[in-house]
Amino acid sequence: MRLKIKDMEFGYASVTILKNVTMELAESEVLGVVGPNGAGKSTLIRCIDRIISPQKGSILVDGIDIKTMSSTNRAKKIGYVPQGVAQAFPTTVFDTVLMGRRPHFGWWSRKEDNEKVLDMLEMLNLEQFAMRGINELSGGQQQKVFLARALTQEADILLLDEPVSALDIRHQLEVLNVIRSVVKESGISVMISIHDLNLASRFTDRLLLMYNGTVFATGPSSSVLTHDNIRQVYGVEANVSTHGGRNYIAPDKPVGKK
Amino acid sequence: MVLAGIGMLYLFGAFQGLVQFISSPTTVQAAVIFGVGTLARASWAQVIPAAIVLICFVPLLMWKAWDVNILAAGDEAAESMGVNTARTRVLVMLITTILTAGLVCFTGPIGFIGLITPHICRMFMGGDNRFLIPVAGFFGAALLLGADTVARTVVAPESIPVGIVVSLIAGPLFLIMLLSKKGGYL
Repeated sequence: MRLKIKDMEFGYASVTILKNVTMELAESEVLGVVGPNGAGKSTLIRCIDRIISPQKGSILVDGIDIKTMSSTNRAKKIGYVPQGVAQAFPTTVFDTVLMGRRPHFGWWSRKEDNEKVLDMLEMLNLEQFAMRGINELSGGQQQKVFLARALTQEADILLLDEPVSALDIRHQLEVLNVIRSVVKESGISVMISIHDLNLASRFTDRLLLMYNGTVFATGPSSSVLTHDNIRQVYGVEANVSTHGGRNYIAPDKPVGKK
Repeated sequence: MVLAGIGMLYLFGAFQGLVQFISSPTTVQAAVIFGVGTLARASWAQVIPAAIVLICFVPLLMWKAWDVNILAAGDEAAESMGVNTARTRVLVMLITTILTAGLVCFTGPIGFIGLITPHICRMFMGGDNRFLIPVAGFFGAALLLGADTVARTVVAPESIPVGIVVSLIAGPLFLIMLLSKKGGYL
């Protein structure tokens, strides 16, 4: 197991956000994190990269507690693309992707680092934008740039918080396809939070369904995206169909009171 | 951030006013001249301590230049790339404060040089601080010497404090740049 989380708990002063979260992430696995707004998906991802620190429980990467890692070593193990596409200050696409090499070189980028950036831009079809400002690109292109930055970091684990929510269907498929092919080629593990249940079902190996800060169900989409689970977690009546061993849902109407 | 700055400005303005209020008229005149900024009182005896401050702290700033680049990505992303954002911020602010104080104490506040040159340089060469910091330093020095030459020659043999010349030229220029926001890099 590449990532092991045991009995993790996180809360702010007055509210508990996550409780008793236990989960695992294997090598070359794409894990989809699904669940309603406020279920704790983003919080879980931010805890894993120690943007925030859980109060209880342990997070082990390759058997080592991430609490004991230096920030540079952690950055070599875990890459993270935060939710939303806002950048604090505009930089060129090339410079943005080069930032991903931060854990690997001290102060001066080597030829090898520049080449890795160019390779990554080529792979994501971004090379024609290399010297453009990132603020001049569309939302979909920006998301690809941030993905390129995280991939150039060459971490074993990639955490993606809602990477496709703001994209059109074409860009959604492109981004998710890139993620799948990188996983196949380099064997990294990806944890991806995603609102669209059908995309989650189609592009992940396993799903983690979160509800009120706990792991409600985990497994293949055929066992997680069931009529009863959708009804209980989302409060939505949905028609579930199976295609190629994966479950797809067509939402019908909200039920009960939320 | 801006509001905190305004608060500090008023607080230290009050101290300054108090000191001027209880001082002799000649001291007050000297303080007013210091307040507009001038190179007229510069001497080699002042260059040495100023140079020591530069030599000690500019390399420190350059060492952090790459991490400052990464802060542009936003705090969460920068953290994920291994940058300690809070520590970097405090350290860089400390270094720049010492650098600024170490030079301003000899010349008085010559406004706009430090505000306008990095932005002009950024337009031409992009935002990589590893190049921007030294280039903006040299460009700013050249700009200041140019303005000082104007200040000493335009009403010769009298000279006006360089701070006034710089503010007269750079103030409107800065407003134009602010309004045009070329390339969003300002």
